[in-house]
Amino acid sequence: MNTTEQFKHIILQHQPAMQRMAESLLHNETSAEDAVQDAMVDLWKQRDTLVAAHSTEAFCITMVKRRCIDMLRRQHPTQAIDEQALMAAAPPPDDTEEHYRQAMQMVKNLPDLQRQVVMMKYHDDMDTAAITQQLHISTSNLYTTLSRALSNLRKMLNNER
Amino acid sequence: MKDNNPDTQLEQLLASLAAHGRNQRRQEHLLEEIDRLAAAEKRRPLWPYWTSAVAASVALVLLLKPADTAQVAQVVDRVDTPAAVVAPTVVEAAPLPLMAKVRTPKPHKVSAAKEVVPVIEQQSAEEIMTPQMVEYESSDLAEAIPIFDIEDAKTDTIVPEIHIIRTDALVAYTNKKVCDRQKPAKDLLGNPIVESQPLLAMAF
Repeated sequence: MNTTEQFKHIILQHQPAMQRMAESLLHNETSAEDAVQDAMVDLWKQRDTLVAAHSTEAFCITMVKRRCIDMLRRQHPTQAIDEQALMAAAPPPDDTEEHYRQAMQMVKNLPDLQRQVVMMKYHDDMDTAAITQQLHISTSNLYTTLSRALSNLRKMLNNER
Repeated sequence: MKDNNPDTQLEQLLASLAAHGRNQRRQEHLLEEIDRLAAAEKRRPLWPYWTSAVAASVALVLLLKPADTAQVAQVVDRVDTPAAVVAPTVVEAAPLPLMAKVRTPKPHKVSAAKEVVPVIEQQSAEEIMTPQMVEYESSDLAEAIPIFDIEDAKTDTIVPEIHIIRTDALVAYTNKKVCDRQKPAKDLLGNPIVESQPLLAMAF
């Protein structure tokens, strides 16, 4: 595995934590995405150090915190920023993976078309036209399928209680 | 899924799907960005760090693209601004087509520049430059480029700024300007426009 592949692996591994860290500091999803991307570019410049680092996660999180502090300074130039407190902050715990795992267990029990519709609409964020085009179904058929899929999911949740 | 309300649970379920999808797209975007960075790094030529400063500057000159008329226009237009930067630059045609020899001004050039200042203040820079420059040969063009600071010329201050200009591009630009100026102004019917008389004279 060359350095670029190693770098990609590290970034993919720590991206969720970096995103959560940035969102907790900036309180804005889009700004957090920008901070993570900027931090990634910084990390790319130091990729040899990153790959050899003892804790790659700490390295990545530190880099994204610095980027967030820079962004906060730009956003609020007159406000004092407690840099030490921000640098000491830990990324919030990740509960999305567990929720996603539970959700996928239910979704995969849906009939084929219903599962595809739910995944395209909610997971892939596709619009109605794109879904109907890809699945070769009419718009009314899509809405009916989606309604049945949500009804089935609701039943599964009721049965789980 | 702590909430027992099925609607809330369903909302959470769908929200977790959406959040996972969003994060997947972010990761895909980051991977694309990494590929872009890696590709850009491969394209970048290896800079010979080991070379001396002299070798580096020679390489820079060889890599320079020929200036086009727009670039020349930018340089020439700077004279029109009152606070034009001092740069009594001397440009000479070099044997190679893409190279221009540039040398910084010598002290005696300062006095020459100062002498031209009053003329510039009285006439527009365009009026001074275009007719003169066309008459010069390319080697003499260098002497005809009046790029200097009107304000600071009195204080003998020269900002060391170097412009590299292809003299043939400069000639092309100035020729075009002169041709434009020499075309007589015409009205809609194609008749030459005679300068209008002062209003006072017309009243009588």
